[in-house]
Amino acid sequence: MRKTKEDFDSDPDLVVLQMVQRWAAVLMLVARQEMEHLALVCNLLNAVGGDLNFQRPNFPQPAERYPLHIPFWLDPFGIPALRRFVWFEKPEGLKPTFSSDGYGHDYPRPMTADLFKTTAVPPTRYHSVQELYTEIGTAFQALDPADIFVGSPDRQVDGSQFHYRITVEPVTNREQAAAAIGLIIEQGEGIGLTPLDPNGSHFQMFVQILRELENAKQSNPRFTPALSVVWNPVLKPDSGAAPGTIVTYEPSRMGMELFNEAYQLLLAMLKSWFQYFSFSQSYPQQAAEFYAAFFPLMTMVIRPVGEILTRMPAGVDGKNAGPSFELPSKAEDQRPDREWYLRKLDELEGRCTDFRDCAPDRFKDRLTFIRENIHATRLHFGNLWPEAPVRTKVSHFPI
Amino acid sequence: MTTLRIKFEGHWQCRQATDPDPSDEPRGVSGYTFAVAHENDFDQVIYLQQDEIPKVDFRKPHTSKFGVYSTGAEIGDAEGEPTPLDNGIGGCAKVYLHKRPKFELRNDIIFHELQGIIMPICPFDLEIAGDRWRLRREDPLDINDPSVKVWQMVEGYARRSPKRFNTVSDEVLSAIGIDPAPDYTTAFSNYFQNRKQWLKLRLAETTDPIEAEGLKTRIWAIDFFSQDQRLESRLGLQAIWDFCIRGRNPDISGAEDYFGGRIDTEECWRTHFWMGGFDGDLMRGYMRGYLEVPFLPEYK
Repeated sequence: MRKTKEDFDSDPDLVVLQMVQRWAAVLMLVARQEMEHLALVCNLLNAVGGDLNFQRPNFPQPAERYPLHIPFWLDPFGIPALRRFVWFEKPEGLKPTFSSDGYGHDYPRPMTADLFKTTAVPPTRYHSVQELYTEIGTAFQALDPADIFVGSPDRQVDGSQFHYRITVEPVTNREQAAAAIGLIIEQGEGIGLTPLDPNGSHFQMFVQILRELENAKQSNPRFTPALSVVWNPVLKPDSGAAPGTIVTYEPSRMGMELFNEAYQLLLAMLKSWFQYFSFSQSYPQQAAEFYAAFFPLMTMVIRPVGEILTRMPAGVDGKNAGPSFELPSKAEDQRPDREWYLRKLDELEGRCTDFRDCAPDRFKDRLTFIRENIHATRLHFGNLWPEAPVRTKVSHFPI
Repeated sequence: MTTLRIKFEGHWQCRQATDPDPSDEPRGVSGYTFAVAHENDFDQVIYLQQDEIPKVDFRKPHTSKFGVYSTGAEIGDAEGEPTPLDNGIGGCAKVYLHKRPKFELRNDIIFHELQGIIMPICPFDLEIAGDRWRLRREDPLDINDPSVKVWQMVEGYARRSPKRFNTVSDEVLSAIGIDPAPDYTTAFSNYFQNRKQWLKLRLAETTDPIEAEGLKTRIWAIDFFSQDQRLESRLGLQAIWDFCIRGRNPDISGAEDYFGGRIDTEECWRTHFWMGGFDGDLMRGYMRGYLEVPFLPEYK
């Protein structure tokens, strides 16, 4: 999104800039609450002794790939993207008047979006996220607790680790399972909320932003709050995904590789942390993963590198690049060890240095800052998880 | 050893992104602080004097005197008993932190294994400047290699971090003029509701659409970030620092004549201060403390 004065070709309309800033804050709140939902789902899975799986197909994916029949793809912030998220978060039974991919006669699909050829997945019983969660909730209530609550209660993540409106409660019985599911569909679809509830649901938030954006575009049809980024930027074709837009500008490609490496490292840390969490004993690996994943990698590497990429050329159609969130086709089988993590952090620092050296001047200070932060993260990660295990304690103090 | 202690206090400003925004976020997105309308991007720098701050970045309302000033001086004898210097001596000098200092948390990356997340102010170059005298000294994080930065260290900055945090301090509330009655929660909520009323009045008065949109964003932010008390929770917060300033070649121009004694420039100087009472809408806080230097009075 365009959030600084430099993001505009000419003097920006500061009135509009303020509106975009508020939208961005709301979208970040939604993103944080989705992290909360991830933690709750991990607790639900750990409660039933399930294995966590963070693997997914790469973007873009056609609507037919998923039971909800909503495509998973990366496009710029705007009316089609907002419409798609309204579809994702809509309460059961409500059918928006626009198509589930957000495009239509008013916003023509990008050409490559029509190239999807895929085998539709077998039909499932559910047609919305709400319905899926409701079915899971019903199963938790209907089945014998002795048969389903077979996971160790010690593996339940407790919300005291988190901040910033992140509420995560353990799941060790039916009531807690119902509460966890209830919170997810309350924050997402607004189930249980009154329409005037000041907290609002993700559905309400997306609808509100969509209305405000439609009004803004009615006043000024040329208003575009998003940077001009390509549709589904990718580094290389992926046989498991539909065609994206291959970014060809080499410095941007280096940035995308840095982004993807950091993203993959983050997922490895999150999976390991959630899968092997111990409430009673914060052992060194758990402390180090928690330290590195939730702030340094998410907020000080992945987010700013992504922001830089959306301001760099793609080498295609005069548009900008963007993060592609590409994953390797197969996840690591083994739980990462200390040396693997340290090597990855070293590689990240090296990639960041290379990217900074070839990036436009206006990004060099920020990339220097990111590199410093990767360096510091590696130092502290290695210190928190020394070669000879010792007990350690993590505390937190937000500014 | 006798010491000269110069006390100081006052309002400071730091336009900084707050967690979970990256600490170099220029406008504010997910934290509770925002740069609005014509305001410049955040620079995260701690300013102790108003003349260091561009006018466009100094938000209204601010009803009390801004800036950190000395409030007096005293001599401490070998037993530590203080004797105030003559009335007026040492008072009203300006206090500065030079070289664009920041609270170096970096989204919790700056970390200490035992202390947890900590918050050194880097660089730390303190000056108290009176009429024809000054005391100025910098404290490098690593005295043996002043070029070492905070992100290159694992624990060398621990001594430069707050020794203690108080979640709600009555001393802070008294300093910023908040009566904690009937209870802290209500008092903090009232504080920002009053601010909201002021902003709404200003919004009704202004004819400038850009200022209006900036005011709207400030009102929106108070509502949005009051939901989880993030704004309110910083009002009573107090962080207390206490460390030695060890840099070489301190500047004591005119100070020995002014205070009437010899100032030791080889021994370290001690500073003790708190910062707190951060108002996330104005992006201002308060500080109070002192600088203590080894001192040999020249008795006549």
